[in-house]
Order: sequence, then C-alpha cells, then structure tokens
Amino acid sequence: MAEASSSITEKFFLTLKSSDGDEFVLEESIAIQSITIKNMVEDGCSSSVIPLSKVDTETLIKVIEYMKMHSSTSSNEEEIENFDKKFVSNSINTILNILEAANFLDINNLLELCAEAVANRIKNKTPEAVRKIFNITSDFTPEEEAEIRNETPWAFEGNLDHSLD
Amino acid sequence: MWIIANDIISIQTMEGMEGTDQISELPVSILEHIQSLLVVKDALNTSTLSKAWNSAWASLSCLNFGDDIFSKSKNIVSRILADRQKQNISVRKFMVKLPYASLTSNYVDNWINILVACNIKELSIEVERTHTYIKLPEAIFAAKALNMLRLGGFKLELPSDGVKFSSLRELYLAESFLDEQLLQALCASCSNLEVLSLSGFHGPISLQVAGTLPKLRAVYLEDCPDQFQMVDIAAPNLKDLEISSFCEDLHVIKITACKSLKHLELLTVEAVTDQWLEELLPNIPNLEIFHLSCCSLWKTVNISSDRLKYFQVTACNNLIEVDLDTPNLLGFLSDVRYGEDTVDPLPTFNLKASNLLEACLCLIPETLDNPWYSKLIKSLGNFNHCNAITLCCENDKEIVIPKDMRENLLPPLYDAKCLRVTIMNPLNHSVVDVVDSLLWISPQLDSLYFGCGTEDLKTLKFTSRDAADDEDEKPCCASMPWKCWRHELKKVKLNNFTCTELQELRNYLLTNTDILEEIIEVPP
Repeated sequence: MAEASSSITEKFFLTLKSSDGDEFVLEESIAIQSITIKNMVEDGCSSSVIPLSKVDTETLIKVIEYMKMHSSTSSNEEEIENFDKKFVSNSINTILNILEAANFLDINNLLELCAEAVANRIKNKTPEAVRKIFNITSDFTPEEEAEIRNETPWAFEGNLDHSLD
Repeated sequence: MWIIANDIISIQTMEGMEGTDQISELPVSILEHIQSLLVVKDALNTSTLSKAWNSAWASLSCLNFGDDIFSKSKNIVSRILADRQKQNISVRKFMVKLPYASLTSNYVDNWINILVACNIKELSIEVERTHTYIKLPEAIFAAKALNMLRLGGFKLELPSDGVKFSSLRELYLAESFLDEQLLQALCASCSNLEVLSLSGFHGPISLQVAGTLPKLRAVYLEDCPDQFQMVDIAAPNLKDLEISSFCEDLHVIKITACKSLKHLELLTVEAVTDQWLEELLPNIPNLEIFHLSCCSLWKTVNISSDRLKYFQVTACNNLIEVDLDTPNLLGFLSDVRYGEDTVDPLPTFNLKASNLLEACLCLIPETLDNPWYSKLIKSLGNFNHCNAITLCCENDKEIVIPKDMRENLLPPLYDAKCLRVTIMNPLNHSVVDVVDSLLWISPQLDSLYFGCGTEDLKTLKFTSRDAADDEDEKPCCASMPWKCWRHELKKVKLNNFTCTELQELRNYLLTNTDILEEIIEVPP
C-alpha cells in the first residue's frame, strides 16, 4: 500500500539534529506528527537541518521509533497497541526524557502515553516510595512538609503501597 | 528511513543521570498533566514531594475525586474548591462518584455554585441511586463554558431562567429523572451539542430533535422507560443512533433527514415493522452498521446498499426473510433458536455480500431433538458461501448431528473453508465426535478453530492434495459438488490439543483417510 501511494506523491525528507550533533533523516510525513517540526516546515525551515537542541540522541531515536510506528502508513491497531505497551516499559529516566522531548516537540499522543506511564508509577504510592522511584529530593523543611500533610491527613492514610515497582 | 550520520557515542547523556531529580525539573505544565491523570488523593500525595510539585498541585485545574472521597472526608471537596475560587484558579474538569447519602444534596449545591464561578468545562457527578434523586441546582444551567456534563442519579427540571449551555458539546445522563420541558429546551437551545446520551432515565414521553442541533453526531437512548413513546430525530450530521427499551412500548420512531447515519442499533423497539424499514432504509444511504435485536413485529427486510458492512439480527421472533444485496458486507451475526416458545419459522437469509464475509451464528436450542438438528442444518445452508463461519453454542451436543440424520443430506457448509466454534461448557462428547460432525457439516475445510480470540486456540489445519493430482480413482464423492476430506487430506496440523485429544484425533484421522501423509502435532 505504502509503495503504491509513494509512486504517486513524491516523498520529502527532513534531517533532524540531536543535541549531541547526530543527524537523522526522516520522511516529512512522519516527522510532522510533531507540531513543532510541522510549524518549522511550514515556516520554510525544512531545506536545512532542523536542530533539536533539547533532545539528545538516545531520546531522539526513541521518539523517531514512536513516530514511525504511529505514522498513518503502518496502520495495524494491534501492532501499535503492543508497541505502546512495550514502549512504556522503558526505564523511568528514559520515559521522563521522552516526556520532556514530546512536550518540546509537541507530539500530543506521545506526551499522553508517557504522562500516563509516569502517573501509573505514582498511583496509590506513599510519597516516600514516589520519591525513591523518581529520585526526588524534597526542598521542604520537615516542618513545611508536616504542615502540608496536616491539611489533608486522610490522603496519607490507608493502604498505600510502599513498594518501588 | 533514517540513518545515523555521525556515529558518536554521547558521553553527556550517560553521565549525571544517577542522582538527579529529573522529574521536578520538568515544566510545571507537565507535572500538572501528570497530576491530572491521578485521583485527588494521589495528586495530594505528590504535593508533598517538592516545591515544584506543590505549586503544580496548587494550580491544578483538573480534579478527579474518584469514588471513595466521601468516606474519607465529607468537607474536602468543598475545601479544595473554595480554596481555588478564593485564589481565582479555574477548575476545568471536575469528577466525583458518590454513594447516596441524604446529605449529599447540600454538598452538591455548594460545589456546583463554585464550579460555575470557576468556569467549569467538564463536569461529572455520579451518585449511586437508591430510591430518591438529588435535585440538580439551577445554578448549573448558567455554566456558559461547560463542554461536557455527565450526571447520574439526579433530578433535572427546567430552570426559571432557561438553559444557557451555549458551549455544551456532550451530555450524558444516567439513572436520572428529567422533565419533558427541560429535554425540549436542551434540544432547542444547545446548538453545539454533539453527543446526547440518556440511559435508564425517567420523565419524558418523547425526544424530538427538529433540525435544531446541526452538530449532533451521536444519540444513545438506553433502557428507555415504559412511558417513553416517541423518538423523532432530524439531524443532518447524526452518525450514531442507538435505542433500547425495557418494554415494547416505543411505538414511534421517526428518523428523517439523517443522511449521515452510519451506525444504527435498535433493541426491543416496537416501532420496527416491515413498512417502517422499507421507508427508512432508502433515507439513510450511508448506513454501515445495522443491529436489530428483540424487535418482534417485522418479518422481512430487503437491503440494497454498497455501504453496509455489518448487519446483526438477533431474537427477532417473527423473522421470515432477510435479503441483502450488499457487496461490501463483511460481517453478519444472527441466531438459530428452537424451542416450545419459539414461534419463528425458519428464516431465509439471501446474502449477496463481499467474498470476505464472516458470519456468526449463536445457537439457542431449548431441547435437542431431531427437529433441532434438522433446523440447524437448514439454517447453516444459508451461509455456505461465507469466507468464515463462527458457531457459538452452550454445549457441544448442539452441534454433534446424529449420524443417521447425516445420511442422504447435503453437507450444509460444503463450500466453507474456515469454521470457528466456541463452546461455553466442557465437552460431553469426545473431541473426535465433535470434529467428525463438523467435518460432515464442512467437508472441505482449511481451518477449524475451537474458542474465540487468536492466541492458544485448539486448531486443526488441513492441507488437501493438489487438484491437479491424477483423478483416476473415482471415490465415493466423485459425483458430489464438493470433495470429501476422507480422500483428499494429505496433511493435518493439530495445535494446542491435550495429549489424550491428540491421540484420539490421530487415530480418527488415520482410520478415516486414504492418502494422509503427515500429522503435525503442536502441544500447548
């Protein structure tokens, strides 16, 4: 199907450059799932290399994988579903990098997917467990934190999950 | 295709990963996004993580209180809302599920007042109803920014100031009472309405949409009550329409000027008669999915359409004939009923459909006697030319046709290549008896599946000898329109059967075939 349509409409390619200086060549129709890139193309920046100063190579490779799977030509729903499931099983640091990139590149589906993956790691967990999972250092004084907790003590009671899974 | 132009291993990304608080450095908008996917209890938990999280929580505009907030604290919702109102923070989205309590009503009044002041866009309050409704405060009808309203367990009446839902796009009411005047006012004034869903409602006797809702794309009327008698819809952009009712009281359904309708489902609707169908169908030329269930007044239908893709007709007791001239029909679902109370004659299905048509038949016999098997054989004959056929039954006895009945009868699905059988209960017969009956029904199968879905199914795959092979010998079936598997099978592959079943099937296949060369067994 893709072959047939490509012979009719000419393919355009874009070059994306990561913050590490690596260049990736990608079909325009796939790349414009990123609204940021789409806007750049529409503003006439597509002839030269598109610099993505906020996205490192490792992250860009993942984002490109995602965009290729979700582009209209590879349409099998089940395949996409399985891909997404596997995609969110990346390490939490990778997910956060991709989340930030998706925000910068304005790829709504990818942002949604990663935000949900992060939210799922937070659900029903104690703040202590969440801090460990995401390596969060509190910048509150113990007094400040106690004050916040005292406002809504019920939120910190009950069967919360202490595990780090 | 993409290529890595410079194959440089980045050192920057490798170092400094450990030990950084990467998440708190994300833009506040992302933290808010993550919090908006959590229930308030979890979002509150994140507010103690760090100052960044705390400030994201403080301006969080999407509040999902979940379904157990009331058991934790009765005032927390009011407190959080009041706090947001005080600081002029808008609440875009508010969701809560409540157990019924006589006190709930006062709380809800208070919340809605604040939410309307905070420019609420999506509001969902579902109350578990016992025997009384909560009265919806009139204040809500002034929510001009409201896009989505979902209510369960409420009583809604026309407010004295009228309805000002100028932005409302989606309205879902479940287990609620609404008065006729309000429904009329909604249909007349919500010019941006796209989805109208009423489920288990009480109050109105009719729904009338007379071209006033140009954007309306979906109407769902579920479990319409006894007194609900009429639906009259004229909506040029309506794509989905589903109507189901408890009793057979819904006598009048008018679907006019709904040229875009793609998906129509009618369940227990008395309005459906032969004449009604005949008049309706030419007016909905874009129909792709059509379901008719438990409609007992119609007897025949004749559909000629190159758009129709799926047609389902079940439990329509007086059905006599279905004629489909539908070259793009891909799916057909029906049932075969038999029993003392079943008055229906044996319906005929004439299907001119796509080569890819897959038919599914639910078998529902009350007793298993010879007339049942005879009815089954005749019914199956309607579907001989389908690409794939699925039979759904409670137990295997329903499809094991007595051997004496098979004699002198044409196998009903002799043309079928793919047969799928789902059996709810454990087998009474041996697997061989079931396979033997199915191979009589369909003697030229390529594949026979047991169960639904795609993974780990018990499967038999058949490979026959080439048609080009010499046909010197004239087997028993030489004069028949089909080739008998007994003389044709060269290879059989058995997947996921148990050891005992494999042994039985192997013996059966070896004793009953002439030229079988190979049986491949793949255990689970």
